[in-house]
Amino acid sequence: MSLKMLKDQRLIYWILMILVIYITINPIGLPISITPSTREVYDIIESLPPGSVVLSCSDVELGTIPELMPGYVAMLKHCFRRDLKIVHYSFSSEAAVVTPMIFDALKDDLKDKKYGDDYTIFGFIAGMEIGVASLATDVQATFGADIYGTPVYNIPLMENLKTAADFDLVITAVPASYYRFLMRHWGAAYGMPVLVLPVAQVVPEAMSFVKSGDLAGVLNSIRGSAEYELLLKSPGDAIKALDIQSVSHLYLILLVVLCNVGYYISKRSEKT
Amino acid sequence: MIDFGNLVYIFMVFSCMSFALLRESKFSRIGETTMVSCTIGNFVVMSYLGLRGIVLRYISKGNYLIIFPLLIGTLVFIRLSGSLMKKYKAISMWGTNLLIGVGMGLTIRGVIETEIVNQLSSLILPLYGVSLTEAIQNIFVVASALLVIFYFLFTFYLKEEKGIIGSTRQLGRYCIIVVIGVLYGRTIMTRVSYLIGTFGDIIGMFK
Repeated sequence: MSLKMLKDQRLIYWILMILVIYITINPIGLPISITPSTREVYDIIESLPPGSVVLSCSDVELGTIPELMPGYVAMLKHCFRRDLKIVHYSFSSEAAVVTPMIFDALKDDLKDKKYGDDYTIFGFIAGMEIGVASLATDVQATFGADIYGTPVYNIPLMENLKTAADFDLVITAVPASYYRFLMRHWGAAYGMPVLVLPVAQVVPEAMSFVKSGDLAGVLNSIRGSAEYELLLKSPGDAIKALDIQSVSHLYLILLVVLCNVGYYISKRSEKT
Repeated sequence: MIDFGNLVYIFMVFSCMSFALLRESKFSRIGETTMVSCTIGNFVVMSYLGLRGIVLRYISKGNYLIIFPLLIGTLVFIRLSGSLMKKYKAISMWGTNLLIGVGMGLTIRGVIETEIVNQLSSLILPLYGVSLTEAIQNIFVVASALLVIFYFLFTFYLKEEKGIIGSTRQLGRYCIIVVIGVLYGRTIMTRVSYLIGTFGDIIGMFK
């Protein structure tokens, strides 16, 4: 081992990997406070009367499961505990794999729920924004049939749901700016409140839409998901992940500071 | 619990990570190419199944008009043949053009209200008559929005950044740099979350 090894950028990734593995095995249990944005999302779902219909639109892809799934499952859990009706679909082509995982995580909450009356699952609806717009104007024609092949007109829950105006809330989890489709065609066009759980890099832009009133609330990715699990008193993967994330971020901040100090010192020594 | 599927998962994770931890090699390319090919393959299959479901549903109700958009979409496959492309290039684009046109029309309907008008109106914030913290926050938001807009006003382009215009553009540039820094930090947060989830799954398999 020589000091030249310290110049190898692969060292950064090795240390990060070891840190993540170590904290996963030995969690610290750092305290988590509840932020106003999470409280807002929680209060919106809490304020809906039982029997309200929620459109659950998942764009959780396989790669974004660690970041989006815990929070999305927590929101759906909250909806089921409030006896809200859920109409679930996805505009991600990986819905066939991800949707069973989501509902598998909810199996305890689904024990006293009846499929077709309390919740229904439609699969992948193609077309991205076009699909979302089509759904807003004609829900029944766009869905067609659920994942079991049951025609939409044979599903009791869907009987009175014709357009976006027949729903009470939209919740969605997105890995990019795809929440804008729902915001434009459900939120702006029909005045539907839209709650979004985006990945961390999309949160700042989504927050600007909360300030302008186009989005009802935004969960701050994994941090918001952990807070939501705390509010729901149902600890899960998000709370476990937050410890590791805090430590890894501290490590990255330390690296940034060290690099800037090193750069400053090298500039000074060049001048002298 | 370790089974064959989990072993493949662990193999693929370390194959992709070996690119950063060691070096690019045939081992790292196995994970990358498998991921890309599986994603595309899955997308093609899901799109076909979705389309088939829609077409069969319409035809079973006696609505044969669905055949027209299906034919227009099929025209895209003209691109696969070089000889047909030379003769029928314009026709091959009908499907794409229709999709772009409909998409643009739908987007514009919502963009003007949500991303222009409402965003502009949300910048009209009270700068006094509110608490000190809120006032400072609002002044900062309004000032940085105006500075960034001013930065992009190329009418005032100068060869050297000098005087009031130069200083204002410089401040606008600093605001953009702050935003880029925030986005960079947020992107890292997303990527680290993937790493945490992946290792959480792997370690969970051994418990």
